[in-house]
Parts: sequence; C-alpha cells; structure tokens
Amino acid sequence: MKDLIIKLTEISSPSGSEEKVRNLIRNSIEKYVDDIKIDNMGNLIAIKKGNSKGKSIMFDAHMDEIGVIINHIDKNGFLRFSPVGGFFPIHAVTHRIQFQNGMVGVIGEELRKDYSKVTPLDKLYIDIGAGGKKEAEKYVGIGDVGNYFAKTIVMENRIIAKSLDDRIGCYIMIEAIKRIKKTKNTLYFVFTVQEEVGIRGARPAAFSINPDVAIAIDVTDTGDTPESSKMEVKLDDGAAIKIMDSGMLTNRKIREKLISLSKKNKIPYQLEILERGTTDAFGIQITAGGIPTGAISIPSRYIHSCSEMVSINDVNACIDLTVAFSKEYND
Amino acid sequence: MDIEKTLNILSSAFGLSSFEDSVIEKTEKMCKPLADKTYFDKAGNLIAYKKGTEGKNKVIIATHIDEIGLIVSGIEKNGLLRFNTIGGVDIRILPGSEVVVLGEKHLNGVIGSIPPHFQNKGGILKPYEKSELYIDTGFDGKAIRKYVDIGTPVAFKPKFINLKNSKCSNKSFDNRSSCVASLYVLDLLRKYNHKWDVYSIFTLQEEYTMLGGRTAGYNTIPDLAIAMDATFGQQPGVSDDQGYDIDKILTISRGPNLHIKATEELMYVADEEKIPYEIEVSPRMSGTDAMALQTTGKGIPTVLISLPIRNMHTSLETININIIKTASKLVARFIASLDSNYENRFE
Amino acid sequence: MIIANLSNAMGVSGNEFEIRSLLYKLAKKYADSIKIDAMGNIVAYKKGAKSKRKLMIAAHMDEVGFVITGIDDKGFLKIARVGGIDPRICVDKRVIVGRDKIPGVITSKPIHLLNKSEREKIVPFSSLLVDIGAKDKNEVKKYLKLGDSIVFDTIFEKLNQKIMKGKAFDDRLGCYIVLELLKKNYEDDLYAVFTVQEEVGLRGANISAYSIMPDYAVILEATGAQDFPNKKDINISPELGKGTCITIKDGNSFASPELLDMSIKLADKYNIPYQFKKTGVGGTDAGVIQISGKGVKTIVFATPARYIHSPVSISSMDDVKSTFGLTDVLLNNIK
Repeated sequence: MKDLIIKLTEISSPSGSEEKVRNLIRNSIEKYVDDIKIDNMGNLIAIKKGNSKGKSIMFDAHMDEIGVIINHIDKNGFLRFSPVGGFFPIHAVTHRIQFQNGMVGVIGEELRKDYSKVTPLDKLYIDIGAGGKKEAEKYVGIGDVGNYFAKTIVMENRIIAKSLDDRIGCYIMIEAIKRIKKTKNTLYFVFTVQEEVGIRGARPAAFSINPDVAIAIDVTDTGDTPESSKMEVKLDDGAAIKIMDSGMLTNRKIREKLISLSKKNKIPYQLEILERGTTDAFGIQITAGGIPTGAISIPSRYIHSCSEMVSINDVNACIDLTVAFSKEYND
Repeated sequence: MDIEKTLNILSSAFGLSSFEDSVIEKTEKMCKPLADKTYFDKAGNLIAYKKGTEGKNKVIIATHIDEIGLIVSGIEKNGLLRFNTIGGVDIRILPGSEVVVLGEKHLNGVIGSIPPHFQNKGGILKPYEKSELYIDTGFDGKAIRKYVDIGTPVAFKPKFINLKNSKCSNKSFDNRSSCVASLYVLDLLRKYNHKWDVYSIFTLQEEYTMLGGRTAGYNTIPDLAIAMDATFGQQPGVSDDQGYDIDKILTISRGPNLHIKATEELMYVADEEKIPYEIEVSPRMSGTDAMALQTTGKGIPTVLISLPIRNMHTSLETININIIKTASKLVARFIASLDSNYENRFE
Repeated sequence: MIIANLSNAMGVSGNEFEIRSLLYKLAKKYADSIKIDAMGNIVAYKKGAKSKRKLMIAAHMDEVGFVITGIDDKGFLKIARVGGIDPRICVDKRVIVGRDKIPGVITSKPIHLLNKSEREKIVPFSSLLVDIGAKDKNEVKKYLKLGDSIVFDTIFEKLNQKIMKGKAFDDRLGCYIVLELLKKNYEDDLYAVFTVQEEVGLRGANISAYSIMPDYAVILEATGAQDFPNKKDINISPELGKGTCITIKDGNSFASPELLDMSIKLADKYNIPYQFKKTGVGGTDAGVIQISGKGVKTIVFATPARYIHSPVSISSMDDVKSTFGLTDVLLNNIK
C-alpha cells in the first residue's frame, strides 16, 4: 500500500500531460478489470461488468495535478511560467519544480518591494541552474510542464505528499477495484484528466458512459487547524460525504444512501460543506440530461501545496464506503 | 385561477435549491387539473404537458421553482447553528431576521444581533460577517441534534402581506411569481386554440448551479423555449436605468442570449395585445435559465420575459399582481400564435 | 476582395446578420450542403473521397461591438459593450448603428472644458454616448430599438503589399481561411463551421460541435500580437510576419497532444513558418468544442494581429497564408 501511494504521488503528471500517471494506474489495475480504454480526452476508463439486472455506477477521481507551464526562457536561462490549474503564488517561492524529463528547478522571485504582500506569479521565475538561454534550451522548451517536486512521507496514520489531490482518490479507486470480486452493478472507474483546469475530462467521460449514478472521489478541506475557517470536517473523523461545495449540491438520495451505508457497515463518516472549491461532480451532474451525482471526499490539509496531508484511517474509510456503494446501490 | 391565492401558497412554500420537494408537491397538485399529464424528467424537473391541436412542434415554458436560503454548516456546543448560503444571499439582511429551520421538524429560529448597549461606543460600525452570525432556535446543543444536522436547509420565514395598489410582498417572488404565471398560462390555454404541444417546466436549482435549466432542454427537446424570471424593479437605490416600473410593465429581453427573430415575434404579439413592456438589454448572458437552454444539445431558440420585483433576494420581495396576469396573457397569446409553418429564421 | 468584405461586414455577437448572409453566400458555392442552426451558426458540409473521419474547421463570425441600452431625452444613445473592449479606445470614434447602418459618433468632451482630474480619468462605458444627429428620443425611436447593435466604422485597406488594416480581424481572418479550405477536397468529411457569439462566452460553438460530433477540430483564430519593443525579458509575443501561432495552451484548453506533435512536425517538413505565444491567455471556441459530447481532439492555429478588439487591427497576409497552409497540410495528414 505504501509503495503504491508513494509512486502515485511522486510521479509527474500535471493537467494536460497525464501519460505517466495514466500508465502507472493502468498497470496497477489491468488484471482486475474486464475492460480498459482511453477516450479522446485521455481519460482512463476501467470497467467491471455486472449483469443486466444491476445499475451502472461511475466512480470518478482525477489523475492530473496542478503545475506550471513554461512561457519563455530569458537570455540568462531563467524560465518564466504560467500556472496550470490552482498553482498559487503563496505556496510557490523557493519550492522545487520537476519537469517531465526529470530536470529540477527552484522558484525564485523578483525583488519584493513590500514584504507584507505575496509576490504574484508573473514576478516569479524558475531557476534550473543554466548558464544562459542556450544551455537551458538543452533541457527545457516553451510549453513544457512541471509540477512540485516533493518526497512523500507515509507515517502510521498520516501521509504527507504533493498531489494527494487527487492521487489519493485514484488510490482509493485502485484499492476498491482490487477488492471487488463479483458485481451485479456495472462499475465504471474513470480516472479523469484536466480536472484542475476546468473539470474538462469528466464531462465528455460522463456523457459517453451516461451512468445511472456517479460518485466523485476527491479531497476536501478541513476546519481542524489553528484559527482555520469554520468547517466541521476533521482529519480522522472518517469519509466525508459531500453535501455541498461551491460548484454543486449533491443528489440527496445518493448522499442519504451513502450515510445509511456508512451506518450499516460501521464506516466512520462525516458531513461536508465546502465553501470554496469544487470537483468533477459538478461537471458530471449537469451532463446528459442530469446524472444523479454524489461525492465521497478525503479530508485534507494544505490543499494545492507540496505538502498536502491526509489521515490513513480516513482513506480506508473511503475505500470501504466506495466498495459498499458499488455492491449495495440498487435504487 | 385566483392568482393572489396561488402566489401566496407557492411563495410561502419551502423549496431551497436541491430541497424543492415541498413546493414541487404543491405545484404538481395545482398542475393536475390544468394539464393533460404531469411527470418528472431525468433530472427531477416537474413537467406539466398540454397537447396542441397539431402536435408537430414543442414549446416549453421554463420557470425555476427553487429559492435562495441558508444551510446548516455546523452546530455549536450550546445549540446555536452556523450556516452557509445557498444562492445570492446578502449577509447584511440577516441580523435580526426570522428563519425556519427545515429539519426533522420545522423549527422557528432567529438570527441574532448584538444590542447597541454592548457594542463599542464610538467604534466604526462594519457590516456583520457570516462568521459572526448564528441561527438561534432556543434549543440546547443536545436537543437540537434530534432535529437538525449539517446540511439541514433554512428558509426565510414566509409572511405574505398585501400592500396598496395590487402590490404584495413575501419571500421567493423570485421566482414563484413566474411559476404562478406559468400555471395561469395553462389555465388560459384551455380557452385559446394552440397548435403546438406545450410543456410547462418547473426547473430545479437555478439559484445555485442552473442544473434544471441545463437539463430541461436536453430531456424535452423543444423547438422554442420561453423562460420567465424576475428582474429588478425601480426602488430607492435602483436607478431608473437599472430597474423597471413594477406597477406598469414587464420586460422582454434582447441580446445574444435570446433568439433575435423569436423575440421580435414576441414583441409583435405584445404590441398587438397592447401589453405594456420595455426591452431589457442583456449585452452578455441573461443570468437565467435562458442561458442554459439556448446552448443545450443542438441549440434551442429562446426568449425571456421578466417580471420586475423590488427587494430581490430578500424576504420581502414586492410585486404587482397585475403584472403576473399580463405576463401570462402575453405568453398564452404568443403560444396561440405559433403555427406549423414556424421556421427558425434570423433575417 | 473577399477578405475586405468579410472585415467590413457588420456582425456583433448575437446580431451577426450581415456577416452571416455574406458567409452563407460564399460558402454555399463550395459545399455539398449548408445550413443555419438554432443560434445562427453556419455549418457547411463537404463529403470526403474516403469519408472515414469527421473533420471540423471553425472560425467565429461575430465581432466585439456595442449594444444600445438606453435613449436619453436629447436623442443620445447609451451603450454597453458586447465582448471585451477597453473603454480607453472608445472615445472619439465613428460607429455604424443598427441594421440600417446609420452613421454615428461616440461623443467626447472637448479638452478645453476638461478640468485636471477629468483629464486623468478614464471615461467609463456608462458615460459613453452615441450621437446619430437625432433631435430627440422620439426621433431615435423611429429608426432604432433598445438592443440594436453598433460596430466601429473602419474600412478595410491594404497598407502595402503584405500588411492590411481593418476591423474584426478577430476572427474574420479565420473565416477567410475556412472559406479557402472549403474550396479544397480532402479524404475525410469536412464540416466548415462559422460560429456565432464567441466573444460573449464561446456560446455558439457548443451546439455545432454537438450536432456534428467530429473526430478532430481545427479552430482558426486571430491572436494578439504585442510585438513592441520589449521592456522586460519575461514573455514571448507573436510577431507579424513570423508565421501562424500554434496554441499549446490557452485560457481554457490544451492542444491535443497528437495534433500538436503532428502540426510541429508538418510545419518543419513543409517549411511553414510558425511561432508560439504566452500560455494561458485568451479563450477560444476550442475550449467548448473539445469537451462537447464524447470529447474532440482539437488544436488552435491563430493568425497574429495587432490591436485586436479595437477599431483598427493590423495583420500580415503572409501569416494568413501560413495559417491556411498548416491547416491544409494537417487535414491531409490526419490518419
């Protein structure tokens, strides 16, 4: 378990360049599913076939992570960049960026005139230690993408890593896939692309599958750190069943089902209302005439930084709930 | 149909975005005597269907049935409730207001405010922030949990009042007044001959995600869509440029979001029927279901009629009943004018 | 000259009447079938020799402009912008108003009468008024209605052999290229689409892509060339004369990797000049086409033009040819 989590989180796959993590996920699930395909957007769709009496359920987690994209290499070999997804300046300065070819650089900033303010992204640059433009061009080019470079730490009940958003969701789906042996419901496990840049992968995927119901599995914020925003979700209180976020309200019947399944199977759970932020569930819900959609969330601190943190107990609760729903959903 | 009574019932009913069951149930009952069939589409939108004499074409009347409000986001140890907003709620209207907590049992609540005696004398008054406000039901921490949990919706407390000159006030005239108009159209159509099939669709969740608007057109594929919503009425703080006379007119919207020829035809009917209206210009999107309907599937020609109301998105929205009547008459006459030679033209 | 007629035609988002008629007439000659959909998009279809795939090429026919939001008692028109326009370029400009193309001027207060603080402020849209010379509100109402469109009055001209000046190069240059591609014959089925309302939120493209469900889409756009003397060494900008701009990532989509690779290889192979631009800037119809239906593989080729979204743009015919050339070669090589 530890190995897979480390591999999933340390790999480089920002939005738009998900090949590496897609291959890793594919290799991890191939022998446990009946069919695998990659659609026009690059989403990875794995199917566990049920029988004709069952329902079709789509589980969704996104493979992509936030990152940067190179705009310009200046004459001294420094790189100017734009964000890919919610890459925030407040987390960035002095952190390390890794490019697809393994090259690592440091984010630096122009002279800050006011130390009480955060330097905006267009006044930052990446330093790969090159002596000039020509040398830099040997390693990187315009349009190259990069992501945070950080070592994953797995403790007894905590994981600290970059891109737990949403590799931990992918991990949960992978484990669920391994655990589910027979199923009467047809299960579509969709590992989507480009969620961070506008929930772009999930919509075409949901449209082609057109499932009876869908569950998105992604991270959510917590209200359990000093003087944080007032939010009920806490690490270790279990799988967070989403009621609402800034993009959607979940389908009531589905969330009531998730709650009753948690109670029945003694899975620790909590209820989530997230003020800022949304997930693939928003895109799925409005597609194809309205797909009933719910969401299981993994409570996470420090989202969109290179040190996101989750509770392993919560992760296991999410796996249990995913498996329970896949078995027992029959409307 | 008694428009004022219907408006009273529907605006007093509860139906926050994604929690529309109660108002849907009441509306469905009202639709049944007026329509050939009532049913729900895939997304849960309520549809009242009325067959036309030729039935070759379909027109939908789309009015969103949900209302804005609050949702419980946390329960303090002493029983006070923290909340989040559903839809565009101005936090500044909340202190000192009454609400209804729609839990296992409906509970009355108040959103408290600090008496002036306890506030910093001479300090600068700032508006209350959401994090400073709580809903107080009078129950303690243990008792409240029997009825309420995170995710329990909370509505403005309804109280329908009559003002002078055919005006009245209550919560949710945005958009129950248009829903009433839609029902009245079905009533009027019993007297007018109409060739096209008519679908009155009461859409869900417009105030939050426009889920209903985005799915209604997909599930019922019409040739034309008539959306009805509320617009701003002139009042203190709303200039004559920004709002419309709530006693005299309804508005017909013009702009990229609306089909140019269909809108012209609607204006023609209004002129013929001597229904007073003004053109409401929408340079971009209209901010209503019309936005979602127009770009659904292969595209739906859409028109938008709006009823001016004062104090939008508060518990005391104010409308003139007569405007609901004239809006319904306009829609019914427009539908009656649609014939089988209808073409989607631009020029 | 076709490109001149396209640039001059009136067609503010939501009211594309003149440009739509013109494009329809021109495209009809080369298409097997042509139709106008519920929002006014034109879809022209040409069957391919082998008909294996559906290829969509698209350009938007609408331009930025204004709309009448009010008429004051003295007969001046209050306006709002349609699409992104910088308020600072609006004062003191000639305009054309409504379907009858009534000439008008955007008024501006004489410098003599401005006080110091007025001179330092930007005139907001709410203060801009258009004068068509009417006596009063009643006279205006004889000719115009609220919601009628207004465009900048700019006549297309060639400044020299290669460089042209005109309005609405975004995206009439793209429309021109689509017309030229429609004249050719490809192995696959070709859907040439002229979309509406791109400038007000990419509104038209969605429904055309949904009706067609193409396998691939190439979007022909115009992009802002900011090739001025650079103060800071922090950005690249497309330059006139340096070729078509292959868009790696704009504000709402990545180029599909397969098409991006292919385009660069083909451009190198056939010596078609190309360049790149700053990522993440601007949004195009590609954003909605790519995620419509089951998903479409898309790429955007943009012709650089200076001063887009203003009354006068400047562009190079060479770059138009490069955009045409690269698209043509790509359509021939998609396997």
